[in-house]
Amino acid sequence: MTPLLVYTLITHVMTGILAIGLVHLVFMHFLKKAPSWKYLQALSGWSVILFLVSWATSAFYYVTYYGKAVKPKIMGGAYPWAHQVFMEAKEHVFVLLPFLTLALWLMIRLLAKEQDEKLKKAAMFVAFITLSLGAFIALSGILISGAVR
Amino acid sequence: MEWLPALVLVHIVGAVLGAGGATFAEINLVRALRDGEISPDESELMKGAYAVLRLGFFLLVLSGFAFLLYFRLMDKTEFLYSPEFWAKLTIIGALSVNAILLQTRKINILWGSAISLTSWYAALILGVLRKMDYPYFATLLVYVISVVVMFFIVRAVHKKFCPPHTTNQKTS
Repeated sequence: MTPLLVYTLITHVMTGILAIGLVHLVFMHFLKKAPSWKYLQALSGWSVILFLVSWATSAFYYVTYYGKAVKPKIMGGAYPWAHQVFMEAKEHVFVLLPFLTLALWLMIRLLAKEQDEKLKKAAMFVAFITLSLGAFIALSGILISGAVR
Repeated sequence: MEWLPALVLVHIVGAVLGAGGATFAEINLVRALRDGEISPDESELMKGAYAVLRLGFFLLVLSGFAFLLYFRLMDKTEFLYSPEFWAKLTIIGALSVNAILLQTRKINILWGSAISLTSWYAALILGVLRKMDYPYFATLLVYVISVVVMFFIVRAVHKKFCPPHTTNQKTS
């Protein structure tokens, strides 16, 4: 693996984890009686940026290295389902995350301008779904890494 | 540059901050509930302990994934098959779910405290005692028993120091 690919993989994992962490903070902050909308806006805005960086770096890694060098190893190993089930699911579900966080950011922007209980509940739900999908994707990443042997 | 010692250090600092934060959060909670109401000063102290706890959790998870990357890049994926790793991951999962349940007030505060304290100390012990090679389910069984024991300890402490209407409440 070239140094560029190593740094790409590191960036993909770390920005992804940071983005999930920020969404977790957003969700927890929503549970407060009086959330700070400015703070939530900043957190969700950064999570959009970090998910996009994670998305771009993963795409580069997948196209230039994973498909050629890692996937055949997994498919020929003892755990081909790690690719067939988890990577296939991960690469499709992951597409949603930047858009979900973008929707979350927009909802928070609206909530900052005008209080709306229904919209707040919907935004909380979006944060929860994003967090759950993010956790699933992170766990899938661990399984896929473990299957490379 | 050798990354492993730095990762181990950050990981252990995260676990120590989490375990310390959870301990002081519980101590501050009991002290705050002694007179039946939480004053603004007591609330500030608790917020400080929760901030330390969150920082510990952040460092633990971030360094955990850095470990994953390190082992993947060094072709040492056998680490990912260790029961200790999966037990720790399960405990961290329980910790995250417990934090959400506590925040949404869907769990009894005594059980929430017991899960939080046990999970943090379990993460610390599993982080320090590497390569134990205990089976996954045996580790989790010890963890569950420890949570139950911790519940009785926390309940006894609350019973001794807090008025009944605060210890018997369902939520935090």
